[in-house]
Amino acid sequence: MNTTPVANAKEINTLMSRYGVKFGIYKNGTFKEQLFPFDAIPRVITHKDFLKIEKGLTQRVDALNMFLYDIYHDKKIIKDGVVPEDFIYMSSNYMPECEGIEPSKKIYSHISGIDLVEGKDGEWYILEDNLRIPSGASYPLIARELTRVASPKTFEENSIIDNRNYAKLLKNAMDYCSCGGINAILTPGRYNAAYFEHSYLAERTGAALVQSHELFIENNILYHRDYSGSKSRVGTLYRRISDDFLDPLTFNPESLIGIPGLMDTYRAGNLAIINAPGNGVADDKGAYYFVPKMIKYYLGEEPIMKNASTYLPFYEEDRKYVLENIRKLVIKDVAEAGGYGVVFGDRLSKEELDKLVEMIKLEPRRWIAQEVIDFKDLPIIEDGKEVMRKADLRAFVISGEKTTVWASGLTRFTRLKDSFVVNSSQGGGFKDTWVLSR
Amino acid sequence: MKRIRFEYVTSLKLSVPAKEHCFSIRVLPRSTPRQRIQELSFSLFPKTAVWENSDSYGNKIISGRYDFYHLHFQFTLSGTAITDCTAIDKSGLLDCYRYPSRLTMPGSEITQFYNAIKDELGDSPYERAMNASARLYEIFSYEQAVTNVKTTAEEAFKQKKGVCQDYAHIFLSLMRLDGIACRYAAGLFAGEGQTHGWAEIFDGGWIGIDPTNNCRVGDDYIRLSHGRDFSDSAIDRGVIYSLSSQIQTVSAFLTEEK
Repeated sequence: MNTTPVANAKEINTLMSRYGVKFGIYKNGTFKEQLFPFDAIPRVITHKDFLKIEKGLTQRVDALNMFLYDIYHDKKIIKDGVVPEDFIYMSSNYMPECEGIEPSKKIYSHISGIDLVEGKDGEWYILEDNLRIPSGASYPLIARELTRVASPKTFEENSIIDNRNYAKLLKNAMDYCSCGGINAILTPGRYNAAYFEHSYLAERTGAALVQSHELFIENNILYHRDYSGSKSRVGTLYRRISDDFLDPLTFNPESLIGIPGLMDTYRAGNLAIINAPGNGVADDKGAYYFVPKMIKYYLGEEPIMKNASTYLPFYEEDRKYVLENIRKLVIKDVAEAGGYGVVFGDRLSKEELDKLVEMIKLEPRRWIAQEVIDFKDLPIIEDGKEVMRKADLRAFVISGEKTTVWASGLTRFTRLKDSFVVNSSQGGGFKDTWVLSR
Repeated sequence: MKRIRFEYVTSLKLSVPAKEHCFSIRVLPRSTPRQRIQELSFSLFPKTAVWENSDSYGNKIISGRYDFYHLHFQFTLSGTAITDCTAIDKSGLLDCYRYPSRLTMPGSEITQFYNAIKDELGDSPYERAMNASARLYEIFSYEQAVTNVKTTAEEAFKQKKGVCQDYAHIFLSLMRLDGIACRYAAGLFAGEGQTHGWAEIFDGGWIGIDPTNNCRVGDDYIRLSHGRDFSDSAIDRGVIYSLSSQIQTVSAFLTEEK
């Protein structure tokens, strides 16, 4: 494999900093913005592997969308005993405010970020579904763009599927779901961790990049007022703020970044919201366990992609296993996002372990436990030398008229030698992801 | 069965004029077999365009927005209803009514209290509800200004005093620990100058229980809105983008018409 981008890594990183490819991190209460370090050695996915991933993720996201519709309507999967109702109603991510709402075209998760890892056994495993506001697609997009500038020959000499169609896929999904009017991307503003992405995607899709004070509702219709004072109806709102801050009249009343009355407009069928509010009930760490069952239940198919082996302490048998084997497991807090609530049993002190065991016994529903997957390391350049690091892949799946897996993705790696946590909010770097066309 | 006349006014005075103001009012009572609405009128001051919506729980919502300066905001509801607390209403039962919401989430003290009383509550959901209300009434006392709209059931329970909303939240928390479907009701009650909050439990149909007065809800209550807890059922929610301070006054009036 030709890796000429490596020779130009410095130039590419310089260009990225010029384009403002940044990621904000909140640590100890302060906001720090830093460049999202790019490693020039791409992750390469073979054509054969991608065909399987493509099929598997399409199947998974279709089932997840059906699950969300079912949960907020008939709840057949609960009535048929496939998912215990505790996992829905005890979850802080289930939102009764979304009961009975008909989202445009019945799609809840328009943009799904599915995190996978490649095991040493050559199998791909799904680690996590992100159906709320998965971020990251802009990074491989711009990395590819800049790599093309710095090293055009690479793309002549290798059969790499062009990934520049992401904006088109996104725009098509926004248009398809639109309830009439413009497409808009709602950003909380300049100090959001993913602001670069918001502005970049708006530019690439032709959507208006808006903030809440430019939006208002009149007669149940959402309008955008531009700098000249003229107003346009919004048909699709790709919001990059979380559910809780979306509408101060429905959710957190102290939110200054939301739009008062938005949920009513949405319920009335006058607006498509991307992604739909309430999706957290399908992507929390507790729901993960049930996704293979959802695929069988809704599609009558065997799951194509594997989950990591997962245990729910909620079930007595699993709890027993977890408590006996806690040292070799990774324990995840169902309630938390962003990688802060992930602990490895073998790294805890005696006291920490005892405390965790107590918490699991007290609130078993709150935790899942997984076998640690021995995943393949990828090479990165550190101080001019090639070293091996843990990496995952966030694949993006767009659901519009049909479900499409984007032939690229965000490969994140950990910069610390012994770390398993590749989350970008914990300071990791990223790579482009090449999918070979043959 | 009674014929009830009711009136409800909320008035908001601002210290300096505000321009951007959005509101969402859950005040139009649903007509149900237990409260058949005969006449109903709603007015708003100052006048602005409003639109109607509904929410997951079946409440009607009047939504609107001001984009001109105003110092005063007021809405008035009045009407008559035939009430019959013995009528059977089975509508609007949701699974989430059996599970704690944020404000009714039991903590260790409510759970401990529940464990201490659960064996002596009786058989039917109605019997259990009435007994739980009585046990709560024994240890909890009514006191204003010690809790607020954000106070959770557990927080109120710890200090053993609060207002109708706190009684209702703790009661709902106990009922949900018991697996009984129940919801919060916000509305009007004879003899009160304010809005009142109570609970409804499901036992073959909805039955109103008023834990503050430790009684079954009779014919002199009008329910305006409902939900899992107070925050779902808030009669008025508003967002005003302004630095002005506000004084809110509420007056409620409910009487039997002979």
